[in-house]
Amino acid sequence: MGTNQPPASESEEVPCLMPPDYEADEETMSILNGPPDEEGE
Amino acid sequence: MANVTLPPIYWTESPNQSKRSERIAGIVVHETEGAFAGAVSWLRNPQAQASAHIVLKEDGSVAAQLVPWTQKAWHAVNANGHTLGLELAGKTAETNNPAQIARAARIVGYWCHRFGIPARKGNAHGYGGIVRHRDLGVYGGGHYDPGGFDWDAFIGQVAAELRRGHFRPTWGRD
Repeated sequence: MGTNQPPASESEEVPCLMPPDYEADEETMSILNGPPDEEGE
Repeated sequence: MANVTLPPIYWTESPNQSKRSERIAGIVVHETEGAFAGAVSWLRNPQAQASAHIVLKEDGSVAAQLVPWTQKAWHAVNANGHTLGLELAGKTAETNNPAQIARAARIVGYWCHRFGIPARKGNAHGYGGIVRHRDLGVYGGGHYDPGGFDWDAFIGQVAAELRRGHFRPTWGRD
């Protein structure tokens, strides 16, 4: 999982694990339940 | 077994990105420690202050692109500026679906082809090849992902995909 690197703090190390059992918001689910933007190869 | 293809892709941009000032010179593979949809949602959340270029679903069937290739995703601290980040949906302690790993190898192979990255292990700062997030140590944030699949075999799969080629001209957004 990714770790933060905002432009103003390039050298800082800020662990940022995904919260356990984090559920997708409605907007994300709406996108993922629709057709993909680009088909596979 | 049929040839693996690049997966269909959803475009769902994350605000957690910044201008890339270095040339793309390596690839970092991660694992989300959570399910696909939740991970995509989290990495689009400004509170996360984290992102990746691609999140690949557990079964490899679809991927989501959150950051354009030419932009810097926030996934590996000091390595962000010169790498692309691929998140595998899943948990490090659990075995990955072989279909997901095969698709991941195709994606990484495409990136190697597109950006001239060697299909080999990169160095401790993520230059010159492909690394796991955990290979970067403190330089990459001190994380321990990914796990659940054979890394040496994966590098071999990527090299095989690069040799096979026949990639579409473009996949994903620049």
